[in-house]
Amino acid sequence: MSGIASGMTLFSALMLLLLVRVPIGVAMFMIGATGYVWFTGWEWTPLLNSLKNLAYARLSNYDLIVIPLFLLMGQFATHGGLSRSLFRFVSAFLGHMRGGIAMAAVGACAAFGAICGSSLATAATMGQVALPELERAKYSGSLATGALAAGGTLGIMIPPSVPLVIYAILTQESIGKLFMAAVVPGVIAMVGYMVVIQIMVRLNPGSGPAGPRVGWGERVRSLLVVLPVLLVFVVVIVGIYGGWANPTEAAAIGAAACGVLAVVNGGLRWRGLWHVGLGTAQTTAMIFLVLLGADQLNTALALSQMPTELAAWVKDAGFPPLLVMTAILLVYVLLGCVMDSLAMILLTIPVFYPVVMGLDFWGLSPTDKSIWFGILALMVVEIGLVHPPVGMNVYVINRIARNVPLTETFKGVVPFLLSDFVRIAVLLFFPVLSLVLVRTFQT
Amino acid sequence: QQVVLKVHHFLPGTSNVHRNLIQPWCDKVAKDSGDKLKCQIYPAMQLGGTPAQLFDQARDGVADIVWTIPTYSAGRFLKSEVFELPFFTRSAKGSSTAFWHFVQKNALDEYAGVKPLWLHTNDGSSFHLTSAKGVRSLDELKGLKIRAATRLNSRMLAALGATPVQMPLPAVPEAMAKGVIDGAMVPWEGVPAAKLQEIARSHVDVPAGEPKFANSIFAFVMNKAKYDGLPADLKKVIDANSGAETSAWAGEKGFDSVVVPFHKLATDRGNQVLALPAAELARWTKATADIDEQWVKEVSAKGGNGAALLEDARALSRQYDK
Amino acid sequence: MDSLAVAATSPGAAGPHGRAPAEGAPDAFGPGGRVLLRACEAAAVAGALVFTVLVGMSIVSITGRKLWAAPVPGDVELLQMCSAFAASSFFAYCHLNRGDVKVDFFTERLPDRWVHGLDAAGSLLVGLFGALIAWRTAAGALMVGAAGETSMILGVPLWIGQALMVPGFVLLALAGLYMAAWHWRRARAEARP
Ligand code: NA
Ligand code: NA
Repeated sequence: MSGIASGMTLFSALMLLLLVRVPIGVAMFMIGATGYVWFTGWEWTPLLNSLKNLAYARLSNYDLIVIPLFLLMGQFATHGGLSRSLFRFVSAFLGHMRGGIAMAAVGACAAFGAICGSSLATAATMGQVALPELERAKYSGSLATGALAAGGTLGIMIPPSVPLVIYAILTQESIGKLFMAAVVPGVIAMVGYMVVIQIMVRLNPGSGPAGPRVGWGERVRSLLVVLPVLLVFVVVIVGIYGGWANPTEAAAIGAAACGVLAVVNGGLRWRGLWHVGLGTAQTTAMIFLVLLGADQLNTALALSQMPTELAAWVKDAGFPPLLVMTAILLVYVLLGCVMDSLAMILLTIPVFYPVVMGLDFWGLSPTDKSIWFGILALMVVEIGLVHPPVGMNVYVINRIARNVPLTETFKGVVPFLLSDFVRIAVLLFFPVLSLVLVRTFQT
Repeated sequence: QQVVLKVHHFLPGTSNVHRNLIQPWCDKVAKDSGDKLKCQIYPAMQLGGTPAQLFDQARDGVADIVWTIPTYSAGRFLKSEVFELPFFTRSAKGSSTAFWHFVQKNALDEYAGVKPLWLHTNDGSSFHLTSAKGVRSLDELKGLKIRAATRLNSRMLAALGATPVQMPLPAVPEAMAKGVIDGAMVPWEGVPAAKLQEIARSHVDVPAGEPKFANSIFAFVMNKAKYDGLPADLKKVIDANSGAETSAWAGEKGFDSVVVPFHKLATDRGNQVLALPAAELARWTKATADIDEQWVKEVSAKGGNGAALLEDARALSRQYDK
Repeated sequence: MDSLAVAATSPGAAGPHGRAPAEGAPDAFGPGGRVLLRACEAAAVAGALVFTVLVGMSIVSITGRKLWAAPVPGDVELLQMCSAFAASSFFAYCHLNRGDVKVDFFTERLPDRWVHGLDAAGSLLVGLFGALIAWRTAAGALMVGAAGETSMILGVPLWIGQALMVPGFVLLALAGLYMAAWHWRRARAEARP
């Protein structure tokens, strides 16, 4: 059987397991292990021997340690009430405009995203803070929930970002460079969402009434409260980009700083700390289980030769590169209907990455191409969090907004989704947007 | 009947070692066997695990052949490690030959379960530093943060008064660019792969003809059972492409031959390529003498005759690595 | 990512599955399950504590390196060994808390007993995975121990790092088996009129 055929067999078997609710990590592992035995001539010993290494190789990986550390940081930020002060701060400056409170919620999501690596956590925590305020200001349910569901995705689009760490590890790319590359596209996403809000309130002024204007005294006070949070952000960013720490170390600094803030300013106590521990454990385990499974699956895929054969086939077939890229991005959108972003990255990058690297896009160098593709993949898998039918962010936000029907929220998300597609097209045609900061800070 | 060999290693498929050693070796074996032996090369740890686990993968049959740095498993290849002692090797070709003979004579027990096909060293580590003025004396090295590659390398840096910093190799260019470390000890062979010629401003070698600061050992080994199970004609092909001469070939083709062109990469960018003054070299050698002693003690503690092994390795070096 | 991140990150906003059910609720754990859950919670928090300590060590190391060119010796290898242990202690809690990433799109409209039946099979696979990895990791630790491998700088025997991961995976095996039985009982209970 050819590599592509045997690889496809594995993928079909995997889809079957996923269909019947087997946890993704374990499904990947089982298929990977079976494939491994298949490709080694139905011998069990090589598999059993290779499994001696699997867990320690993966869990002791130095780059991977940033994930629990960033999650710990996000936990401290969430339990320490940092989201509230961020929202108050942005709201003090934007709240008086028409649609301003929704814009403030998006801005606060972006700011929170800068200290949190997870999108659902951002959506949930900002939702709890901002939704009551939006309701009080008589925002329409669809605009309020739509803005927050979309804003939540900024948690991952603004670095630090767990899927980017995974991408970096899979492709041996630099985490620092990928984070840097995500900054401009992340800010574009935030601005795009704010523009959408403005358009929506122009079209329907009743949907987002202006709030009261806040005096400068209040503004300064809100700034003072939020200053420590900004400081953490600056420390982490400067730590990574500016020079004295690698991402793992910067994550440690960020976690420590957020921890201190949460205890000193946020009144976090033993009970809260217990939940910080459990929350970190829960999310880390969820991610790492998928990683362990993907490791086994990727080994089996490598043995099948599918990724190399597929890359060679696409290259030789002479398809226009942009067509191939568009097809890849469409596959992500489709997969996003049933699967979550981390699993998508882990499942597809080992297959798609060699294909992309074998093609020429705008004459980009291999390093530039790999960073650019990482950002595109990140953006497109994040869409899966807001589009039907799975759209986890939509469910999370909708559950907080008890009196808004689910259909309203999905309707509210549509314009933001459109801005996502526009942004992805822009990033596809202008790689420089992803690469400008990387190039600027490169020595 | 075609036999497919799974060859596993940790470098990317674009690396010098992959393209100029492993691939040509595989091509040669395929040609000599009339295509009855075929390699399937898996670069970049595609079969899973970490570089330190490669050796056991060959031993356990997870892969048929691996190319690895045995000393990534610290404490396990104590005897072979002698070629990583400071100021021990001169050329990769010569020291690879000496290393092969040393292992055949004294250290085959460290390779139980595998058949060493070729063993080699590199062209010797040099200092690659971010400062333009480089380092000309022990005092100038003092307090510099240098990335250490191995256990002995780290000890050596500490003995010289530098601060050894541990970090994964791929992190080195970024750490240097941002001043987290002041430099790294890497052989010239590794310079372009890490783009060190772009990040470093100066490179410090030993004076011409003197033994190199440090080295690393490499092993291309095959699962023993896989080898034993080959038909006699294919065994012959493997035998003809392994041993002292193949080891010398690996040292020369993979390492010695790239030093001059890679020097040029650095000088073309206006970097300084310095040689340590001869008088300084004596001070450096003296400062690191204890490391030899420490190694002798460690080997003896594990039941080997450390002093005799050290002397034998030196004798082989004198014979093959002039 | 994070199907359940939200339940974990903000206890206030119940996630898609919510936290472990309260005592007396129809889907409550029995006494054995509660003991297991406590053990898994303790392991999870202990792991998080290890990460917190590692955060402290990293900061000491960065400061030392920056100010006095004196990082904590062997900081990287300590970080690697300890976080492997800490991460391994998280898995069982995540599974007991029903925090695995699953595709539930295709089974949304199935009756509850079917879903519980499928989840029983899924949990059984999780249990098998935990047992297999625990067994192989222990074998790996023995192998590395026999070879006398140590860490690079500090010379810590490497088998310790691997052996420390075994209890976490044993706990995962138990959690998987327990949840398989639990889901199975729920499926049977739903099937009764
Ligand atoms: Na983020
Ligand atoms: Na609702």
